[in-house]
Amino acid sequence: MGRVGIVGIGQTQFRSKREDVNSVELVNEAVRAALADAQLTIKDIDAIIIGNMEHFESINYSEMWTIDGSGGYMKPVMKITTGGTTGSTIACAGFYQVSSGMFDRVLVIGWEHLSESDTTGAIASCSDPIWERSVMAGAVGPLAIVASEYMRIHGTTEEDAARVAVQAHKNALNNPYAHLHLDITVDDVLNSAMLSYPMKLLDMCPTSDGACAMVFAEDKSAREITDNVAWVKSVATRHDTAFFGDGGLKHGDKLRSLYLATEEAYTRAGIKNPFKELDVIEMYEPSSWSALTWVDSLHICEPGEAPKLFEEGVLSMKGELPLNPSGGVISTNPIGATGAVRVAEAALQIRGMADRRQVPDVELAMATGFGGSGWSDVMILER
Amino acid sequence: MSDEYVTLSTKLAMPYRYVAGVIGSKFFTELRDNKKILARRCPECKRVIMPPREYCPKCFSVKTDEWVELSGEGSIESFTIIRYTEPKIQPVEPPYAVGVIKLDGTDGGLTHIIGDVDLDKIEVGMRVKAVFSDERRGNILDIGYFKPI
Amino acid sequence: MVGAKVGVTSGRAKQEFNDELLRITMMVDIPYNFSAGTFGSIFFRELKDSRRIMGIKCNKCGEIFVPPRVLCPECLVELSIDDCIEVSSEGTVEGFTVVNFPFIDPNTGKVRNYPYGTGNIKLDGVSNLLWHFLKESDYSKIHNGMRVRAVFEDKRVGLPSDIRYFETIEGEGEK
Repeated sequence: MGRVGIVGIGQTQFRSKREDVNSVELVNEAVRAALADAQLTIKDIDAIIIGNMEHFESINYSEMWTIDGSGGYMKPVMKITTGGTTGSTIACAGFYQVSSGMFDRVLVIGWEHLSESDTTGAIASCSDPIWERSVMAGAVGPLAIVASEYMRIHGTTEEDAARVAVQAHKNALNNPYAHLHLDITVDDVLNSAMLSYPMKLLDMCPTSDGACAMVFAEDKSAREITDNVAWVKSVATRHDTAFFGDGGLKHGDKLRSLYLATEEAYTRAGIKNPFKELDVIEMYEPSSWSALTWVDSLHICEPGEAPKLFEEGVLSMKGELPLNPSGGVISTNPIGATGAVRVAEAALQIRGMADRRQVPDVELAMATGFGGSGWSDVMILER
Repeated sequence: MSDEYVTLSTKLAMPYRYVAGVIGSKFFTELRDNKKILARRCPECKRVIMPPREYCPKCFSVKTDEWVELSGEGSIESFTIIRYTEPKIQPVEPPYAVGVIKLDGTDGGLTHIIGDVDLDKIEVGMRVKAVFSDERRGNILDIGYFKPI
Repeated sequence: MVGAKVGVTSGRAKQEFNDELLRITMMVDIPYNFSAGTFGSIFFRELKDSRRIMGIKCNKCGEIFVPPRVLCPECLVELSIDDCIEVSSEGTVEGFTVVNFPFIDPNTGKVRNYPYGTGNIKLDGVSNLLWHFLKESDYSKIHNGMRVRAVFEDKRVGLPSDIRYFETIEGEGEK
């Protein structure tokens, strides 16, 4: 199997409401930006993978509905709908399709027009209708329950979590695409509205409109397109059981799927010491609290050490291992695109194209995705 | 609930709020205010695209840049008679006719109601024209139906 | 499907123009019939008829799970209805939150009542957690490790809501 690389990246502006465009035009904005970055036209694309959580817009067959925007007319098109991981799964699928040898250049697109629905209600409908739907409060409720477990296990404070949100929002100030540009303090987070104890408004990600597209290309084709390729080094995915009471989210000490997926991705990539070897991580953290549990799952620290890493600045832009220079999910969350943005931002870091949010000399970057009852995608990119 | 197996009869109910975007909004505004049916011309292949779109779905190259006002007349390309009454999602009382209407000068069909017509006499190729609703609210039913010329 | 009502019952779409940008607001409202299946039906029948909470004991690893299901989630062994057993209706709160914000309940299309407490409850002797409502909705009065017991509805219909909520067992402290 030859190498596969990312040669084109396009993101829309992420905003709370994009009313100037319908969903088709929103998709198109990201597609055009990715094609322009790769200096390709739609004729150069062999296949298209589109990711979207269609219940958030209540349009069934969204891959059909958006075809004028995706450029999929008379091409092989496949849709992926895997919750929060939708965007990272389209990246995995783009890698799989090119790796298979079937296609040389695959365009992957993740998008969401979240302002078109009540996101929390729409997410609640992902849970089992008989057993769990009436209890579930979108993503906020279950993530808050995990947070309470993490607090009990490690004695973590609300201030520890607030510090994570402050770092994310500070990083987002350097990212022109980010939805929220908030210059806030720990006190601002602690004083923000209590959504679902211990989760406060500023601990939680927003809901955003936007799209992100990328072009994956096989070795020779990629090198013909550009000499600045973000090569895929390894990919891993782990799913968990369906009931929230069984699954990864019951383990407040770590996210089981992320722990196992990163372990596999490191092994495949020959990474022995991820903390030393990785130069930057774009991690899917839907809330400050989740970031603590998730960081503990990356094999870069001992269980319960995440709050200390944030407090000591180890994961800040100037730290040893910067986490989410983009501002992460806490600043921007267009669900079907969110995981794709993680991969795209990691690829921008590899390609040295991240402008004010660029980490110097990035050779190895990792992106993660999180979705559903607690499953994970991991993609490691190299120069 | 039967004796043996449990079934939960419930529903999935959610409010949605869709946006038409700049081009879609212009179409509906002109339809509502001026009874005009507008389409967009692709600068590359010169096709007139209906419904109007920002990019030609076939060329996918440059932005469409020209509004074209249509006559409102066209031909029936295909049609069916709707006779079922459930589920109640019909815009008008059945029976009624729905057809794909190729508006003159455009590249694509508009699906709409065929009205003011003897349902038994509709045929493919029949010439029709748009009849506007008296009360127009800025949606596709501002064209009430298409009737034979 | 006998007696099942099929149809979309949404009202008319509303629309508004602002700065000449069109928005259309509508309610999508679709009926569904969800089947609990063989194992789920055992749970609900016992709950309705006998106020008993049923779990299933894996015949390989010996772990007990609620609700009963056809596969052990840990070792993926196929289980049978003979593996169903009654479990305790008391347990310990392992994780909790109090939902304190408005959102649309997809079961109704309307804003769900809040605040409400929910918790991941480890029933005594059971390996996994049951996610259900807590009676208490003041988060300062809930803590992980707290002992709770199920309160059943007097009129039970054979659904999870037959357990009204879990209430705090006073004086039992932590476990």
